[in-house]
Amino acid sequence: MKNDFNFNEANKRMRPTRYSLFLFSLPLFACDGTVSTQTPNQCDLTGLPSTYESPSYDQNTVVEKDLRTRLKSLLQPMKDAEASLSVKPTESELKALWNAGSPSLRSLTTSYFVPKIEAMITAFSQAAGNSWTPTPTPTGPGGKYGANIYSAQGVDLRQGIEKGIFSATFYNHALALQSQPITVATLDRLIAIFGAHASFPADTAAAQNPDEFVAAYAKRRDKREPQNPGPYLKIKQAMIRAQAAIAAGPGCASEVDASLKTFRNEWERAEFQTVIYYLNDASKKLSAAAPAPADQSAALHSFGEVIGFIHGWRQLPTDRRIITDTQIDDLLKLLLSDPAAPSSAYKLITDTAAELPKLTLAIQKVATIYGLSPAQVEDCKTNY
Amino acid sequence: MDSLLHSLGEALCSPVVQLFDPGKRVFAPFLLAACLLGLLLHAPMRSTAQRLRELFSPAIYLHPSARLDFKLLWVKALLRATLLAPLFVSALAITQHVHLSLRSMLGAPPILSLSPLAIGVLSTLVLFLCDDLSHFLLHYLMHRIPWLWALHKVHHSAEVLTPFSLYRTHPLEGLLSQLRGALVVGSVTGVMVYLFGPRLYSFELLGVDAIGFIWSLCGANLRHSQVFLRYGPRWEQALISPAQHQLHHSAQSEHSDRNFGTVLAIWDRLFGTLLTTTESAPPRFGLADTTVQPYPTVKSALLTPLQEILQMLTMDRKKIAVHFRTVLGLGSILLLLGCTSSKRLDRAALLQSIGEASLSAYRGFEAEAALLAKTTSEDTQSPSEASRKAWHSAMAAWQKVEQFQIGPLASAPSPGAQGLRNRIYIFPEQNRCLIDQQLVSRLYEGALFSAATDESKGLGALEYLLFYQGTDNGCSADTAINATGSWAALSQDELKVRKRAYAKAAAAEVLIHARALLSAWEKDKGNFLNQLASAGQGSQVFATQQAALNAVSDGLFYLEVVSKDRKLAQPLGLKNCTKMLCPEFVESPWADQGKEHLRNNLLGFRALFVGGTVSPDALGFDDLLKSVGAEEVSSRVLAEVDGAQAAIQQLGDKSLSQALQADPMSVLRIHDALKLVTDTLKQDFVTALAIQPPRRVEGDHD
Repeated sequence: MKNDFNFNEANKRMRPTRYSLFLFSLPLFACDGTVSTQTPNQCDLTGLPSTYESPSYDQNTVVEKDLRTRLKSLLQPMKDAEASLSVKPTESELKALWNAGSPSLRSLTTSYFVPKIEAMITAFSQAAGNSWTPTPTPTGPGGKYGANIYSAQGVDLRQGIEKGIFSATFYNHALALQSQPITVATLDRLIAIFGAHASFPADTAAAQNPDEFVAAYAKRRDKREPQNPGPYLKIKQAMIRAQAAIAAGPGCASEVDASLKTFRNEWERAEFQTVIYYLNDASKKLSAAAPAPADQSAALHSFGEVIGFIHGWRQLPTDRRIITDTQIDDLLKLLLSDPAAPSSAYKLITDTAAELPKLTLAIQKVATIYGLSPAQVEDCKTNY
Repeated sequence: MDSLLHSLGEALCSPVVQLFDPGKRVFAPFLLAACLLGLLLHAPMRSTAQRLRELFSPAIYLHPSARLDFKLLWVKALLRATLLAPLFVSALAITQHVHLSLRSMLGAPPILSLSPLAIGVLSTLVLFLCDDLSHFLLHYLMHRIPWLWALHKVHHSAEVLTPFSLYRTHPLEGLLSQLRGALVVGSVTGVMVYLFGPRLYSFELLGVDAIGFIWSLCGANLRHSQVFLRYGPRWEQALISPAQHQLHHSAQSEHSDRNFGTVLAIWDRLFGTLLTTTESAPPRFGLADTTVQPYPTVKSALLTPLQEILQMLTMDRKKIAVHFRTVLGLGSILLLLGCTSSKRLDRAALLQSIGEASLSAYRGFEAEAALLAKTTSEDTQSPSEASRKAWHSAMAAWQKVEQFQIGPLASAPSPGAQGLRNRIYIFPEQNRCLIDQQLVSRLYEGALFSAATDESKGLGALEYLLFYQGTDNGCSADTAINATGSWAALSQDELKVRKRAYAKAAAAEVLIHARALLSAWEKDKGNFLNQLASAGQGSQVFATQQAALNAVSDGLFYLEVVSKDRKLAQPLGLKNCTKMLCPEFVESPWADQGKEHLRNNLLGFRALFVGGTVSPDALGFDDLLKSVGAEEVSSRVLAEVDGAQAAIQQLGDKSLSQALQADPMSVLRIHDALKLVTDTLKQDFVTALAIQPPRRVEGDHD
């Protein structure tokens, strides 16, 4: 390049100015850092990442992914039976799936809920292949009504099994994992049994690693607003925090405990916020002027989800949940499903006007137990 | 005062902030890319250390000419924030004007079946070409028109070139460039919005136009640098290389008035001003006719051009006046377009105003609900005329509130929703059969009534209980109350007594919910008003002001979804009706108040639109539309609302049900008048408030 500029001469001329500039610029860079005053016993988890990273997630979660697959295998013949009256899975077939593998779904389920599931399996095998309509005096083995299979008392059996297993089996397994020393692998396993993936996609329809089971419902109850996180985001944040706390060493043990408590509480809240969703859904369907049988069946199905979600929590370790057995029993009795007596869910269809207010009352009770504000209750009534 | 201090603070920070703004030429990654290109391509025969010394030589960056560049950068930022700010025109305003003018002149746009990709490519290319051509033309005029050259000379007086020489311009030149950018981006986007509506998009990177971004990343900053980067004679026929721009800055007279282009060289070819480069860089940068720096200080850079222009005006008045008038005329048009709209509306104040209007409407309803509860509780045997009157008043107030479904009144997923609207009035989902069953079971007497579904309570249930005198029920024969005979067993007097008691319980509940609504909004309680007003500024409900405005404007669409479609189209047989007419779907069949409800819906709509009825100065959507240059849309909406009221007025003494039976066309005219309002809402209103012209990376003289 040619011009009349003499670099060397100009350089010399500018030297004093250059040094002054250098001195002035030093504070600009120095102000950037903060002086650490952390002592070895303190737990400093500032600067947490926004994503959960686990390169060994697939290796760590073999057992939990098998359990998820086994639940799908158990539910599939039931779904097939609901799709076609000619499909009739036998009790032994379904129980074989329930007992399959090691550990099996059965082996990880609370001792209270094992006979409940097995009774529902038996009832399902008897109801499959039949048609059924609710009557004021239940008779027969039950059968298909609308798109689902119900017991003679109007219990949606597949929902009772699936949603019950979410807590009585999967949550119970999560508690067992937390009773052992907590490692990064434990966190992966908790995420997997929750139904999520380490990438926390917040997507139930993703081609790879979609959210399933409880994670799918937690996602629906979460607007995923950073300023107002719901159960899905809170669980993700808790797992990120727990991972950092484990990496930081024993000084952060209390942070690990706090994060796991958040994980448990938000799992439970996600399920009971979903109870509100389905209670409202059933109520809306039955409150319509002259609901069609298809709408009534859909309402009974939503009601079945509610009962499954609530019942699975009964007799889980009391110090590891928010709801008590007394509150569970109170809710179940209110909702025609006293654990000590045959269900009378069918009354929701046969005596709608008398039973409908109980659904709203149950919503109010759940909101009180979990301290939900009116706006939070309203948020539970839609899927996000 | 606060806003001035805020503007000054922002102005002082702005030169530094530019380093992090992808819309600026000196965005740090663009500078870094230019440095890397400079290192790679500048004097490749020399060592890296030597090249680094030359590229970043303090002799260049601390040269008096470069120091003036930096000083001007700050001084211009301050001037822009204080004196010049009101003169800047918004591209958004021009977009609105162009879009709306095209709509009014040409009507609906032609249907262009282009794929989204084709639209993206087309809009990106057209905007780039127009922007680049306008850069060329303005630059060309700045060299040709004496008083513009007096301004532009400041830029050409740079004796060393650094990327910051881009900002060595007179503030008035900056203003002209901004007008150019707003005019071009605004006009082109306006045409594109007209043609493609909501399907319009352009390719962007980091929020700015993709072509500008790539061009800046490919070394645009080398145009103002010591790096003589050539593209070779062939490519320089198509694209302006950094070296060509450096020739443009040369002090050699043979280089004068050449290479005005920014990106494309085709404009220079068309105007015969293209000059390709040779091996040698210009020996000196600066003004051709002098070796003395005419602008050694900031003061001289700002004032000397103005003095020169004044001299020209006094010397050759005729010629200069022609040029001056031309530019002044153009500027005035732009300012007329922009000045009305460049006053950015304080959206927090707007939201506060709408919130206060909502609260005022809710208070009005609460007072009527209290009266209704009191009157029904005083009835002794059967529902009285006083209770029916109280219901009329409460319902009139409610129908105005219906539009204000914001936050607690709204249903999920609206932000901050508590579903209170449905507790008070669940139209069109009332269930008469459920009410009749509860009359039999006397559910209204117990605590469980508070948990009874909304379909059996609220103002809709009250209407049935207070106004219907018949003794039949709304249930089918197989429903328990009919199958078992429990309804038939009720005497007429007993039914009246029960209806009175049920009405009393229902009215008490309506009052509870009206008070819950007020409580959720009032300052000393739920303070939702503050959540709305502080949207985007700490609100727990609304992350942005736009989210809050969206939630509020959703309320306006009640007029479309409920008033037009449900209250008129369905009874008229236009929607969800298998017969010629479906009079059974007319709202308020027992009190026969459908017409009055529509009238009050329109009053409520107007109140929400203009920010309430209490103060004429209250901010509303009309002010927001005005602030974005769409005042015409606002006037049109209000005129169409008046038109719909006039159509209702034409029913005379007939109720809506009577008119539907006797003269369905008169009801259809109301429907059509409402459709005009809702069509404007769906098209022009939504577009006007959502349009964002694409952001361009700044070019030379911006």
